[in-house]
Amino acid sequence: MTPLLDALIEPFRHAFMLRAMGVGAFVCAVCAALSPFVVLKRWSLVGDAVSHAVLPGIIGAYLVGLPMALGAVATGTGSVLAAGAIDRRARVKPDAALGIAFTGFTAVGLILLSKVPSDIHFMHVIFGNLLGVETEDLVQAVAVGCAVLAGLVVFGRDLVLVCFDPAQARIVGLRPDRLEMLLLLLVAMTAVAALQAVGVVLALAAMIIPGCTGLLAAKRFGRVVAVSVGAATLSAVIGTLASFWLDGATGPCIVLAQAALFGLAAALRARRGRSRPA
Amino acid sequence: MASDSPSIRVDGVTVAYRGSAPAIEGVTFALHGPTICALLGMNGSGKSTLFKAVMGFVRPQAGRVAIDGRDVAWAQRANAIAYVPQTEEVDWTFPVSVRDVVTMGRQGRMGFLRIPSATDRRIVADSLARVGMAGFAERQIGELSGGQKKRVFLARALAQEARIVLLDEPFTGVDLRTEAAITDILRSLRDAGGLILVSTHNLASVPDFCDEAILVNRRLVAAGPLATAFTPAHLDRAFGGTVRIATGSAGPAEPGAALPALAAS
Repeated sequence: MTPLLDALIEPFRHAFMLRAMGVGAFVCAVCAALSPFVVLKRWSLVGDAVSHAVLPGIIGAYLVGLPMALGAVATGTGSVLAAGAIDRRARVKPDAALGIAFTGFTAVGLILLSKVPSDIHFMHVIFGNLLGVETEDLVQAVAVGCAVLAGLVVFGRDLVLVCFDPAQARIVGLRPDRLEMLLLLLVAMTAVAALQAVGVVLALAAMIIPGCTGLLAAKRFGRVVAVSVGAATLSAVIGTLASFWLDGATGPCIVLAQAALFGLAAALRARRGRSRPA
Repeated sequence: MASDSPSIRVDGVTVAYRGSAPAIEGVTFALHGPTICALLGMNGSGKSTLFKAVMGFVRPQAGRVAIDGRDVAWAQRANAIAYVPQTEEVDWTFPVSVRDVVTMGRQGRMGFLRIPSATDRRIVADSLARVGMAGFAERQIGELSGGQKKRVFLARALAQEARIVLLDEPFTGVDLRTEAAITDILRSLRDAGGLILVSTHNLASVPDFCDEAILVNRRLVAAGPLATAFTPAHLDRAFGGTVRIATGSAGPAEPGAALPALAAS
């Protein structure tokens, strides 16, 4: 066998690699299914806020012995609700209010991180730890991911309408306020799942980049989601393999693969635009 | 019989946004279908706010709105009002097709998973045909001309099968053919018993297709049949003396003297 082929096959001989690729692909696919909603709703900053603000919830839940996901969703959504309260009561623009709220939550998380005696576990929350994912975390990520997918199957069409035209949603009897709360909840749950793959620092990438790739490649919502999920799944596999070969951090490799696919989609679109007569 | 016709009753409604003077103040009028009513006023006169109050998007500080004799929350649940937004308010890059947008008119009537039934699909196809857009169903909405965009959103309102239809500036930026097509459809909706409320800057076309007019300038200036409401004196008050004869030769404007050529600035 040639050395090159051997090097290519090598990662597939390890159970931990197969597991990492499987979990990574699933988690990134969940993020990607939600991604077009977040992008079209212009909630990139909300996604960033939520994915950072889960930190104190995770450590808090650990301290009182609750499931990590529960605490994460509580503080993740809490940061956005706090921003809403600041926006309503103070003369602060919404994006600045969000910045105040989520950095505050993240700061609390970082203080807890430095005070709570613990193993390396929380560092995995910040940077992701796909290659060493523990069964308990895996079960949690899969459960949360399935809940997000179920939410999208049931409420996806209403969420599309709320993203596109909230006034129409309201006039035909939907409740945009409740649907936005639902979307916020789904973002928080997705952030919890994303932590396993890429960590708090890069969770936003998994929620934003695939949707943007999909929007470049397709003009119908269903196809946008399909491209988004496909690109994210592929990126998870490529990124995990790349991190094995490079012996580098897995999360950043996955994010880089997603960015590369986005760049490819952008380049293809630009080329198509040029070749088409104006 | 009167109870069976669609109605909008606005009773002493005042709406103020946070930290501002009231956008509309003590506005009162009543409309009963079948009718086509023009909603006229300058920019900032409170037309949009009045629409929002009728649709139940803003809560009045004073007064009340009744749709078919019931409250606005009922009207939303019952799909009683259809709304055609201004073209500028739409995200035309959104990945939806013409058919997708018209199907959104049916969404409140669909089941739990919002999957269109055969009836929904038939109504969507009929609505597209009615506005002459049947051949464009699969287009992404950004790939349409200005007039086509208006037609698509009119089709969505048709698909909703509401008895009350609100249109926000449906004639801005459309060609004459589309304008004629839109007014034809509004007439047919009226003739089927509908209540149509149209906000417009195009005063010249009002006598062509409207039965009634409401003039606002933060407060109500006039409301009623064209003969009593759409008068030079009322137009002068609503538009603050800025109504002039667009094609006039010389001399001071005589509001109402040449109505078909009137334009408001």
